[in-house]
Amino acid sequence: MTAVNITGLGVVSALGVGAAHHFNQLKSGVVGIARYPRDEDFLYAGKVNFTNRQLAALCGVQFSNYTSRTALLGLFAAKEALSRIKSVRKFPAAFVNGATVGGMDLSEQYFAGKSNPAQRDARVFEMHDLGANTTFIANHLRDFQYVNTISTACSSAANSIMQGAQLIRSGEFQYVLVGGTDALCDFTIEGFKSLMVYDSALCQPFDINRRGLNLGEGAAYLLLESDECIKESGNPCLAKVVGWANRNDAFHNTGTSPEGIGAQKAMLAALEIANLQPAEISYINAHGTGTLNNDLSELAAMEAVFEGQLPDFSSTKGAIGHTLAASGAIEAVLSITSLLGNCAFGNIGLTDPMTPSQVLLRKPKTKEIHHVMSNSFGFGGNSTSLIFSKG
Amino acid sequence: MQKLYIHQAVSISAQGFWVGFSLPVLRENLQRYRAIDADYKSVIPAMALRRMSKITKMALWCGLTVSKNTGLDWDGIIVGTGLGNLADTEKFLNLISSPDLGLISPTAFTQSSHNTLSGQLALQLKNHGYNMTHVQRNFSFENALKDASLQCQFGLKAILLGAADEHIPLLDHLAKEAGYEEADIDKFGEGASFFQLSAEQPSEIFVRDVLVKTAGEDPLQSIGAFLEKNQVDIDSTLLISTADTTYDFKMKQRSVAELAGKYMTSSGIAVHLACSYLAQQDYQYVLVWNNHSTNGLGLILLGHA
Repeated sequence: MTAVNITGLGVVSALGVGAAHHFNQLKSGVVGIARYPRDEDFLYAGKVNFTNRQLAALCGVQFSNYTSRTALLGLFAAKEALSRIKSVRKFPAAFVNGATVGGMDLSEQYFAGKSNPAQRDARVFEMHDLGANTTFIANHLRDFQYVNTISTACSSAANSIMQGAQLIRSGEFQYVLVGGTDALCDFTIEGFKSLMVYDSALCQPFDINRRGLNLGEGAAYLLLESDECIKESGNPCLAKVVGWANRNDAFHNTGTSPEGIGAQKAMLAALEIANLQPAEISYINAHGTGTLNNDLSELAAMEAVFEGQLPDFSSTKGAIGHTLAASGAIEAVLSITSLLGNCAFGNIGLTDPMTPSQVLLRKPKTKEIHHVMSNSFGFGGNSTSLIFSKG
Repeated sequence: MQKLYIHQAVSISAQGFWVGFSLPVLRENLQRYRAIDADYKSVIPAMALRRMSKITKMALWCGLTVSKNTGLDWDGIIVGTGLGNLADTEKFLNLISSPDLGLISPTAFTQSSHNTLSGQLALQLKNHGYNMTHVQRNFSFENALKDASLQCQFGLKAILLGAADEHIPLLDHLAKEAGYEEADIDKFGEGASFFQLSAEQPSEIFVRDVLVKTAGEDPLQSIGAFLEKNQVDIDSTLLISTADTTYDFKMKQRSVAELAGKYMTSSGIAVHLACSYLAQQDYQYVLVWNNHSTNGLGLILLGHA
């Protein structure tokens, strides 16, 4: 049975570009979330500091008003993931992408122009559907024999990584690109505002005074290779995906159960697949959105799984924002840099921590790290837990 | 791939609702292809039903009816949808683009998420198992089926697999603006199909192989190679396509486009139809050919014991 080797990493978020850069930013406590102007007002969001035109140029594709920001962010991060590795043509390749908004930034233009039919352009819908965004990214990378989009809300990219790991482990594919992408758009900003969970100030995950989340945008991808494939490619194995599980909370359409049943089941099942004891986890990169509901049930779930012996944990959403479908992949990349750099990241924005325990990291902590768990939960009760180990 | 046995099938489409393998009286050449509403409240609680858009109602009715008939606690719920919850998406886009944007209801936003179908099924069934939603245009159902096969390799036993897509009038409008012919727009359909699958527990009808090609190739060549690989005899095989073109090809042909219209996951109802023909033992094999687009194709080979 082959290991699931990670050989390429690419990430773009409000903190910048590249895995190493993200590591340095987080180790230095940099916050990427900033004022995001909207109409005459502003809110706090983690915006990627490139225009669509700049992203297109960085990707080496022609700029078009009909290409979604989600697709451009995705292509940019995917190219970054593949930039330092040797490509292998001997084996069939797969691409599994996570997405939730797709081309919503363009679809919104059609609705905004509804009062003036002359301004409406049906072509803006060409990239509305999620699959179109995935296909765009795939077509600009290489030949893929399998292309798929997973959409399980905020756990989409985590589930893409899980599916990629299973495709490698089963022997069906040797070379799989996995991850996710989502752009900021009015649809999700107004959506979370309508749910009364958008923090008008900087978000404070795992703080007693937390008021909600700040949205972010970005994309991240991991290249997974089988043992046989690395022999062929010669690409060094950076880390391994060793545990994965997808469970459902089955409690409420958007909220999570107070005891985090789905999260508990996902973490326990991922530990079982990784063949690890809870005590062997060095650091948990938590979902930690900053909403009252999520952080409460997530902490309860972690306490139940780790039976009061919680490892160091933190949420990095105070630095990047909640990047929805992309978050599972961005946080997977962060988890892997944490493994490689032996540093557990600090939880940004803590003033009154939900737990007095020092395992909720106030600041970055340098220590030997062997296994990192990364959790992602979403609407529809979707709960996914991933575990990464040193290569 | 290992055989995936199909134990139950439930669909909703322009043909009405259809439970089990026995072939209903099929109405050909319909004028329009809106799915006929089932008695949703027979399986969906009234409180939840009130807020649901048609795609959610259709998917839940099918998924919960399969569940009721089997009484199983699913190890996995896997759904494919091409365009997801369009009505809720359109509703929320209208809400946020209205000039007097004040306090707005979050219902359309939360239900617009593509995983509403699989999530609601888990919620109604109190199911904590594997829960997945695949959204890859025309191949969303094929990819969901491939995932079911993958999960069986990782030990999942009882799987609820489904496909759903809904029609909204805006689609017609956009198609018109994009230059589609009226006759093609009239063919837009909708529907949902759900199946009980297992790799372990045998039944008479099974999925034998699935293939998705994402690049354009000569379809007849792809079909020929696929049948040859599976050592299937063309003469004992029925071809069910999702588009309404018939090809100069030796196999007997049928299209679901004239029964249920065209929608991205209509290969779901094509598989249901295949189960019916196989249950009657009219054919040894049925090949479902997803030919919605000339850019790639999907093939699902089904057989009976």
